[in-house]
Amino acid sequence: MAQVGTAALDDPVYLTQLRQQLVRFARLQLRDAAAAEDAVQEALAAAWTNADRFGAQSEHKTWVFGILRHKLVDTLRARQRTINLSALEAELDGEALLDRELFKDNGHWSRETKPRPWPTPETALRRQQFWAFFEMCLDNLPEHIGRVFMMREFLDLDTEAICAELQINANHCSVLIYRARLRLRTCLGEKGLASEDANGEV
Amino acid sequence: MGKCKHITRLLSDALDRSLTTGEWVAIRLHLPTCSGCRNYRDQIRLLRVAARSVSGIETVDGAKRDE
Repeated sequence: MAQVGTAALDDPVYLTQLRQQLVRFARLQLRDAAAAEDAVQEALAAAWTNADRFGAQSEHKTWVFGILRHKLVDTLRARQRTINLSALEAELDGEALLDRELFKDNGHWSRETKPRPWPTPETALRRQQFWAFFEMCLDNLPEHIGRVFMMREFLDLDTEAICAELQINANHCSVLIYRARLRLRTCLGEKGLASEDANGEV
Repeated sequence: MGKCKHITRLLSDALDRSLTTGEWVAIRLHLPTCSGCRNYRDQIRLLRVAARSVSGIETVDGAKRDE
């Protein structure tokens, strides 16, 4: 068993890919390439000492990501404790603009922006495209909106923990996550996920 | 009652907390009549799957690779 595990983790292709995934993940959170490299380095080093415990690459991967997540939570925690409430309010005020684009006065989707189905990414190229767009759209999120969404979906913290961490109320927390989802799906739709295949069937 | 602006917020909240009965009823009444909100719901679910797969919480092919 241990032998299989070690062999799997000696696989340079696997390790290179894993490293890339870890760095991408850390960079999205920290928005700082050097800090992301450091965090990944530490996580990999910590993981290496226990490498023989893992029979399969997928287990190992889950575990390394777990270490990195903890590391990122610590780093973010040390960096900035609370959110500036007036900056947060200003950001949310700005969201009214997007709402006016997306929804009609009566609160229903406007004709042009009503979500259309996305095609299932059948080919590897399509999937690659999806990830590239996904990253781009994440990068475009306003600061607080992006930050809270990442804490929820990438670091797997529940909303209660996020509220406590940032000292914001539950409503702010869920609005921010809502705005992130609305923006991300709008952005991905605009990137062409809803074009060609999907257009025909509307 | 069933305005998309309101329903999209509820659909998002549903991923993070349990909704009240009233909230569920609002969604259930609205969705059958609105393809935009149905697509929105599917897409925000997909966003969660995508985020989790990037962060190694659920590897897309992890389950299969083990056996």
